[in-house]
Amino acid sequence: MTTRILGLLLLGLSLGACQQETPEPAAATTTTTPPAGTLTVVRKGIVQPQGGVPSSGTVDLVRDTAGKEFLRFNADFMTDFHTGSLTIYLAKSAELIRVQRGRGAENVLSVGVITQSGAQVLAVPAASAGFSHVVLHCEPAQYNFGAAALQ
Amino acid sequence: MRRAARAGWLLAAALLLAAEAQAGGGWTRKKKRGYAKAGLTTVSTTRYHPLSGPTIETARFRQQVYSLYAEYGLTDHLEATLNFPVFRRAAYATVTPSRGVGDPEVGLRYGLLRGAWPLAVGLSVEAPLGNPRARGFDRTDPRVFVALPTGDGEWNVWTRAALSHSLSRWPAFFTVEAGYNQRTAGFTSQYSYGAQAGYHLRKKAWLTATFRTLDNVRPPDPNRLGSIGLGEGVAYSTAGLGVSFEATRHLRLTTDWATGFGRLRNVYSGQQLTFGVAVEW
Repeated sequence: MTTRILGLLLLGLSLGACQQETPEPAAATTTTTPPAGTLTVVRKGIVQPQGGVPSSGTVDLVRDTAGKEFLRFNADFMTDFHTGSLTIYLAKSAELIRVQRGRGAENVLSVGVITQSGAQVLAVPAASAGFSHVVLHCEPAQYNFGAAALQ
Repeated sequence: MRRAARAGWLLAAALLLAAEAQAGGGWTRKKKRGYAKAGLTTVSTTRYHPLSGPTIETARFRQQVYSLYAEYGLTDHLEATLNFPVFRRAAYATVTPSRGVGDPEVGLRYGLLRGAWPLAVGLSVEAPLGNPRARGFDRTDPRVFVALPTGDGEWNVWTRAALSHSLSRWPAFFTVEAGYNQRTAGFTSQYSYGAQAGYHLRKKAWLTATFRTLDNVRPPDPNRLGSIGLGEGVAYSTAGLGVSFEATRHLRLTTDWATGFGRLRNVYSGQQLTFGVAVEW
């Protein structure tokens, strides 16, 4: 590492080039195939905070007239996006996703990525049967920001 | 020589991923005398301390900061200072690292008292040169990103005072310091205090022990930017040990170790190492 220190002045000369470009992320993810017709609420959940993040609000598991399932975050849904995007999972408990995934990949199902609070809908990519919780997960830090038990 | 040991503290004080470094010591450089140090600080840890308090275990976070610290005597009582994280790199394992320049701090320090109890006061400004919007993107899914800022996007104005004393019977000194950081852009202002003791071993190396606390003057606003050691609500206490080896009359090789304790907020904590090369003239 002391060798790397000697490169300090060279680094200083190229600071402008080092500044990382940070393109804006895509807008909050909603399903690319919108729900069709009337939505039926299958299960409902209340988001509880985790990891010191004040997550709150409600989320529904709904089914459209075509039989496809969606997670519908309602307008009262709030969490913290200062740290970046959140990946939404269906899971078998409120435990950390990395813990559940460690017991078997089939224990969690990635539903989508969100970048803002409020109402939004995500298509569930596979059967939701067997999953009991919706989990808000900071993927890079591998930590839950909140979870809702579906009832 | 005492000054070389003190400057080692300055870089060690930039602990736990916080950008602020503490100008320290009651001594100021005489006219046209100077000190410059290039350093590399590394940390690799999983312990994060959110604003709300409880420690959580996350995926491993790594950061390296290449820094430059300098002092230069403008007059026999007034010196200019620079503390510049010239390159910051931060990453989690699954995302692309953020890379970029940090926020430089430039200042002036004035020696009010000399002699056995030197006292210096200083005013410095930290400019928002770093990128508060730097992000790391998941290597397999670019929709997934995490904020990894290299700066907090605001001006800081630090006011500091430091009192030192050289022991008469031992080749040793101690310093106590206090500071106030007037933050802008709506961030909560901060205060700091700390102490350092140094011992000159066989006239070849300064051994130092330090502690420093940084905290907020009022409860921070959780709705402000607060990502990993930068931005709103950063608070920590640190303890550290350092060695500054006098390789030649003008060249110093330094190593500092530090760790966090006490009230830690919006920071990762872990074993932090800093390696440096310094010249003094």
